Amino acid sequence: MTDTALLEVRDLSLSVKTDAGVARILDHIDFSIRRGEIVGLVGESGCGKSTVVRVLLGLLPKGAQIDSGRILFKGVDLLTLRPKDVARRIRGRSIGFIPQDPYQSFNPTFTVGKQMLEVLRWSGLPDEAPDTRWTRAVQARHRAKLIEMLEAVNIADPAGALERYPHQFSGGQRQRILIATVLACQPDLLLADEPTTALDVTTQMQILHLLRDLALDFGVAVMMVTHDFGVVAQLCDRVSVMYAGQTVETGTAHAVIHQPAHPYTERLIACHPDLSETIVGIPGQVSSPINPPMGCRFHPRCLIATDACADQRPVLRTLEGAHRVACLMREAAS
Amino acid sequence: MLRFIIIRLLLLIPVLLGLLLMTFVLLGLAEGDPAAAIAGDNATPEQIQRIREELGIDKPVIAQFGAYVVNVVQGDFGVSAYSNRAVGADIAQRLPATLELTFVSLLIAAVLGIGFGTLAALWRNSVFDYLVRIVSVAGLAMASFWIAIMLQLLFSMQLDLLPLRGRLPSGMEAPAVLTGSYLLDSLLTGRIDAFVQSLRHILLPALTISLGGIATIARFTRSAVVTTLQTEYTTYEEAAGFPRRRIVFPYALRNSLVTPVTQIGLLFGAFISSAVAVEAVFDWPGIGSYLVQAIFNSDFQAVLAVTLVIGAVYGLVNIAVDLAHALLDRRVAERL
Ligand SMILES: Nc1ncnc2c1ncn2[C@@H]1O[C@H](COP(=O)(O)OP(=O)(O)O)[C@@H](O)[C@H]1O
Ligand SMILES: [Mg+2]
Repeated sequence: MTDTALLEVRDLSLSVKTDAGVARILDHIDFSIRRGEIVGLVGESGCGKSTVVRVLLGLLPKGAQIDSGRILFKGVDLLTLRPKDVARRIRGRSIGFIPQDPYQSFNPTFTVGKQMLEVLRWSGLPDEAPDTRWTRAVQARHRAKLIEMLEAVNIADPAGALERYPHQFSGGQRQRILIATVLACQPDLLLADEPTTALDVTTQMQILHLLRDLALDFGVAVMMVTHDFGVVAQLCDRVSVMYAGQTVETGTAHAVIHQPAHPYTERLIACHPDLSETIVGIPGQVSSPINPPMGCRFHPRCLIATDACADQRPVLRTLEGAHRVACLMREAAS
Repeated sequence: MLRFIIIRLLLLIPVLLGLLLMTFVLLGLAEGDPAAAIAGDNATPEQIQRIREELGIDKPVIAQFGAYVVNVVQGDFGVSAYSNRAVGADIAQRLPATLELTFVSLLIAAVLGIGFGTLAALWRNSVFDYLVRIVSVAGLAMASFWIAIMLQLLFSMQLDLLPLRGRLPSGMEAPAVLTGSYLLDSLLTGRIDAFVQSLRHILLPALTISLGGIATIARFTRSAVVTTLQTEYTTYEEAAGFPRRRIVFPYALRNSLVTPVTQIGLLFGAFISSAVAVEAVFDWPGIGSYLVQAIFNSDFQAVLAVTLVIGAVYGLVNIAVDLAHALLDRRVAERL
């Protein structure tokens, strides 16, 4: 593992014009991922996690506008690339994607093989240049690679599986197939958007461990989007906590879980039975990105907020090593 | 699948019997007395009674119906009380013209409807989308005979581009009968001249009939494509790097075809009924004009036979539609 960052998201803000007004969905997002590492992106639903994923894939929502920031991927700012180049060189090829709901993510009217081979067609195997023609020989290579990968994720009868339809597989099997496919392309970075939320609890852990083991084997860095600190504790090297479109805390998984610095992180960890003795939920809900609270967006739900929190947006400040937090109360304390 | 086809074909039998019985009863209730019609104005009651007995319509309805069904099963549709010709032969001669017209109309409606609907969905809220919507509403609202006359005025009278009536120019020999469709028969027998001419002749009547269908299919296709493009699997395809054109075709389109294909089955009935009016305007020698004649003449045998044949074709088309569903969507196939 090298220390140079594979991905650096700096100060990223994004807004979308809607009929109800401007939605400021991302507000100064800031985190980084190194090669081969697993980083958790954590926050309640509605915090903007999937939007971060979409932006990284170069798929801005309609009417969206980048207000500030940079996305350095292997040293190149993705926001300065032409959409055509992002599509050709980055999306699917260097940055892979695992969706949230394996039940909904397959086209029901085509065989699994047809769809997954099409994924390989556009992302290519690692040794194939972009714009490689999709000849029979290339297709046969892709097929062989896919079968090999399906074996690696424990799909029985991989060749037969390619001829079957999505509904003939369980949710867990479908997620395995998606993992096999994306890893066949060997991207540098894998974006997994809550990859197990749609599965039952026993399957969840199997899939997560499979994903971690394979990512380590292949040297693929993973951004693991989740709302569950349990997943972070089990899988992640580092973690970035988001609240309502703002990065509130980043650091090693260990430091953030054992010494959470932001009140939101504390409350989020307290929701988890394995990480906390007393389980308490967080009253209220994530504020809407349209006319969000001024200052720290968490202040209306924060137990220790003062008037200053409603005035001033806290910026990320380093606590110790890589542990950083954006909270005025913390600053005052230190 | 084979089991499904056999069951559906067997189910068609009671449906057609029911259809026949209803037509039978309704014709019995209708005012026209075929015997009186045949005998003419100066006939005596005795003469009319004699014709009644000849026709078998002096017996109770159920007995008549039973006798009729037995004949039909043996392939005998009876003799027209009006023309004294075998009804079966008349239908065999005229049905292919109507079927050709209807299927060409369905083809036009399907191709244009699916094409326009897909484009409208891709260019949502564009000028094209609004245009399709407006034309759709207009297409549904206008009576087909009126459209027929307008098309004739424009393309035949004004622009002199397409022929006014008939299936072929007068004097041109019809292609040898293989399927009964001039288009197919002329192709199969290598009669290119006849093919071009039949195509020119069928265009206006087929377009007239298909307009409403284009509108319906375009609307259903548009909303299906819009829905499909918002699904999570479309998002996945985007994220996996599929180019837009592949996302649309084949991936979104095949999913979106299920509803329009259902519409095609339903439209077939509507097309047959609008063929009745359109055939009259374009002088198309099909079963529509034959049926109109038969109704005016209280020609029971002819009306019954046409009803039965159209009912059977309608049933077959709908079985075909279900099979098309099964081909489009494996989950449907498994339920068959
Ligand atoms: N295209 C869009 N237009 C307007 N609001 C959007 C759009 N996409 C997402 N949002 C809003 O942005 C917020 C974050 O959404 P999302 O990124 O899906 O969050 P998460 O994945 O963390 O649940 C939500 O409040 C959502 O309603
Ligand atoms: Mg999400």
